Amino acid sequence: MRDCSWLLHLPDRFENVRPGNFICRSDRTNDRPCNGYNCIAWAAGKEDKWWWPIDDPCAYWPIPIDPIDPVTLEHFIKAFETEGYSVCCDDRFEDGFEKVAIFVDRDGTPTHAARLLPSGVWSSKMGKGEDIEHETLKIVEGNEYGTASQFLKRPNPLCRKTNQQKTLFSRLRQFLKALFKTFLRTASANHTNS
Amino acid sequence: MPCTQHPFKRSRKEYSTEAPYCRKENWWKSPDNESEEKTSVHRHVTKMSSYVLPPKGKTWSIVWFASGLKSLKKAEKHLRSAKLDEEFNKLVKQWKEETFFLSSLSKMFAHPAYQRIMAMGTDGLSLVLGELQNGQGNWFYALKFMAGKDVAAGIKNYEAARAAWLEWGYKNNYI
Repeated sequence: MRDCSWLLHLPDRFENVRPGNFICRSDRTNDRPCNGYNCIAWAAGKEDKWWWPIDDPCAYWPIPIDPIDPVTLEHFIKAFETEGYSVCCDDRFEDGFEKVAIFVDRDGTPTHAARLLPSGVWSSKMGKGEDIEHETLKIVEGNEYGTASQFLKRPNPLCRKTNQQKTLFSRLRQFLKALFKTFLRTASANHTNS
Repeated sequence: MPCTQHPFKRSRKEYSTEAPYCRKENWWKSPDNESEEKTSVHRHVTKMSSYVLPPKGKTWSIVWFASGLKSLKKAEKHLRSAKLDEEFNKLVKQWKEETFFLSSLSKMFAHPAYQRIMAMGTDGLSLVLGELQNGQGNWFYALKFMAGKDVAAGIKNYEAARAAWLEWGYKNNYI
């Protein structure tokens, strides 16, 4: 089922969600317990496990769980470090890098994580609900998830020229390529209409 | 004087005025009548052996009373379990509705509805195991506290943990 309209019916939990400022991108995954993934797993690029630092058959955590205080920001940073992430200072889009934002509540306890897509928009998995895309992190901030307070980044594994300095010629070639693609698309659209 | 509290069909001999169960005329005018009557009844009963219940009859009545109590207790238990069932279903619905957008399992387990289910203790075990049998919700955390032990300790696989708990429930007559 793909219906994110429930987000609009919880104004006391998601104060900044408005019709049109998010896009529903996946179906709901709450049909069976332990069968889905959560926002933390989604942010780390995994879709097969429910990432949470708790000793439970339904939960997975990549590092040994701290028995005294497992749900801390430091613990979450260490977990993301196993996936190649390192702490960074802001949520700005950087070409060739993947970014993750960790949300914490008023007590500083992690509640949610979002991933910055190559398109420049953020993607969040809403618990057992759907994946949504939102332009800013502010949209999912609120009483439920708190605020985005920690950012991490890693080189994008899909990007071949991650750390290479792009030359002027390669940029021009990329621009012409995009222009040619747009021209082809417009021409085919005109042909279909006529 | 004939007894006015009995049908006329019966003979006078059968119900004499002296009988303890027949009140005298204007009995209510005299203040000591009641106590007098009680004493007369008592006297009469002690005199006449036929009024005393035989010991067998007494035993039967006790048995009947005890069985009545037992069925009453059963009915009460049934009513209580029905109420618990209703409350449980309500709590499960509330918990699912209010936590489905959460990622934090810690927050899910700390939800008031889940905590209330955990507080049901052994009374709610069969209901929780029923939910687990239907494959609904994450109940391992609650089961651990309700049963007082972790049957699925160390198991990291959902199906294996579910099977372990269901087996335990079956062995302990909760399913």
